[in-house]
Amino acid sequence: MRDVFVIGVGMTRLGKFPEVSMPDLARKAFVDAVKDAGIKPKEIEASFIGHVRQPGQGAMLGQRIMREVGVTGIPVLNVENICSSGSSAIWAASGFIASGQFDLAVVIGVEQLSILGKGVIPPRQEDLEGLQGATLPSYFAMVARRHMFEYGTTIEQLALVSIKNHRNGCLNPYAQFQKEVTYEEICNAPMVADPLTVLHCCPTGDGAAVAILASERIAKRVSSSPIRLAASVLKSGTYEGGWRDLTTNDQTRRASQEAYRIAGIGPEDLDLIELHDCFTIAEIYHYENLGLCKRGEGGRFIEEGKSELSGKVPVNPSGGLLAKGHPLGATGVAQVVEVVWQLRGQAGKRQVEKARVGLTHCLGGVIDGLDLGACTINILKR
Amino acid sequence: MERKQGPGLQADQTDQKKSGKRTIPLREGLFVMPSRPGEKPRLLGSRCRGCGKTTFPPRSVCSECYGEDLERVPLSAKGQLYTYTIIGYPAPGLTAPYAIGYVDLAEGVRVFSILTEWDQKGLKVGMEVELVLDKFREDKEGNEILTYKFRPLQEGRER
Repeated sequence: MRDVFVIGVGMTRLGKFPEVSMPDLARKAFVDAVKDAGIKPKEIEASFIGHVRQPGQGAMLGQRIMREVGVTGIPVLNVENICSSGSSAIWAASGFIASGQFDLAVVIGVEQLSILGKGVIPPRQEDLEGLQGATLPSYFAMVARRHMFEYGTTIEQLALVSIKNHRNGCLNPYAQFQKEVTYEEICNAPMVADPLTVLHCCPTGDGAAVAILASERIAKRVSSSPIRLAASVLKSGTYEGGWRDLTTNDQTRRASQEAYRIAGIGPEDLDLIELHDCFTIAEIYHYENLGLCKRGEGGRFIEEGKSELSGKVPVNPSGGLLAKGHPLGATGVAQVVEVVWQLRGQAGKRQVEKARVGLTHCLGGVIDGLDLGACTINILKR
Repeated sequence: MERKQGPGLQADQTDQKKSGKRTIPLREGLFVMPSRPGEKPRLLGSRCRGCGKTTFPPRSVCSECYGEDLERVPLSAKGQLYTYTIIGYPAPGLTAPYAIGYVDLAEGVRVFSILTEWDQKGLKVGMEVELVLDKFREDKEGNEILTYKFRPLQEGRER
C-alpha cells in the first residue's frame, strides 16, 4: 500500500446559510482547496462526497457539485455514514490512492441543515427506540447519567467541555459560534434531555470542507513537506442485544487502537486531537476511548486542564462540533482541514505549538442495538 | 388486563367498542397481555435453542452463533433501571416532558422503554422497576396504540 498525502484543504465558515445552495457551498471550499494544493482541477481523477441525504434534497449531490466546479466525467462516489460521512469519504479516497488506482482525489464534505427546520434529529422510525421517543441527545443524556453514576463525573465537568470549546471557537474565524459561554448560561439554557441543556449539545448548521488527497509522486511535486495521512480507519458498531456498557465506546477504542498501530504511534504521541464532541459527555468519554486517560477519568482530565489549548494534548482547538458547528457531512473533512492547518502552522490565534502529529475522530449514528453506526479515525503527520 | 392510568388516558373500553376504535399494539410480537386476573404482562424475547442467547426485541438469526432456531420466550416482568433521561425536546409527534430509560432484565437483556409514574415516584439509577402496558398515543384514526412501559417499584430521586 502506498503513502497518502493531504496536499490541499479549504472550508467555508460554518453557520446558517439557507439562501446558498449546497453545490455553491461546496464550490467555495473546492476553489480554496485547489488553490491551496497548487494543482489544476482537471488533474483530479476521482471525487468522494460526504453527505447525509436529507428528504427533498435529491440524489447524486456529488455529481451536481462536480458539475458546478467544472470537473465532470470522472468517478464520483456519494458517501453516507451520518455524522461520519465526510471522514468516511476520506477513508474511501485514501484507500483508492493507497492501492494505486488513483494518484489524485478530492474529498468534499457538505451539509445544509438550516433549510430543514428546527428540532432534534431523530433516529429512523423503523428503530424501536425511535418509535418510542428516543432522540439522539437522549442517548447521550443516558450515557452521561450512567457515567455520572459509575465514575462520579459531575455536571460541572461536562460544562467545562462547552466552556473550553466555545472559548476556542472565538479564535476560529470558521466557527459557527464565536462567543464564550459561562457555567450559569449553560445551566440555565433549555433542557434538551436531562442533564444536557442546549449548550451541552452541538448545533445544526451548514457548511462545506474539502481535502485533496494525493500519492507521494504528486505530493512531492507540489510541496516540500506535505502532510501525510498516516492512518485512516473505519469501524461500525457491533451488535449487542444484552448488557452493553454505555460508559465506553467500543468502536472508538477499536478504531483508534488500529489507527495507532498502523501509524506507529500511541495516544501519548498526539500533539492535538479533533474529536467528535456532539455532546459534552461525548468529549469526556472519548478522552478515555482514545486512550488519553483511564476509564472514568475523563472528567478529571478536563478539570486538570489537560485538553486546553495550552494543555498536554489540546482537544478541539477549532471549537469542536459544539462551537465550530456540525453540518453532518462536512464535519469529518473539516476536522482534517483543521489538523492540516495546525500541522502546517497556519492555525492563527488557535495554533498549537510545535504540532507534528494530529488525530481526527468522527462518530456517527445511533442505531438500535449497535454501539453507534460509524467511527472514523484519521491520523496525520508532518 | 393490568392497565395504568397516565396523563390524558381514558381507559373506557365500552366507549371504545361503541365508537369502533381499536387498541393496537405498538408492534406485533413484542409483549403478551395477561390472560388471567392478577397475571402480569410480559415482554417477548427470542432465545436461541442452539446457544441459549436471549435478546429483545426478538431476532430471526442468533447474534451469537448465527443459528436460525429461535423460540419466543416471556421475559422477567421486573428489572433494574440501568440509566434514564427526562426529555425536554421531544421526538416528532410526542409531548415533553417524558422519561425513557434502559432496563436490565435477569435474562441478560437490556430493554429500551418509556418510563411511567416517574414524576410521582422519582428516578434513580439502579432502582427496581416493573413492566406495565399502557397507552402510548393515538393513531390517525383515533385507535389507541398500546405499548410497554416500566414504572418505579420504590421511591427515589437522583439528588
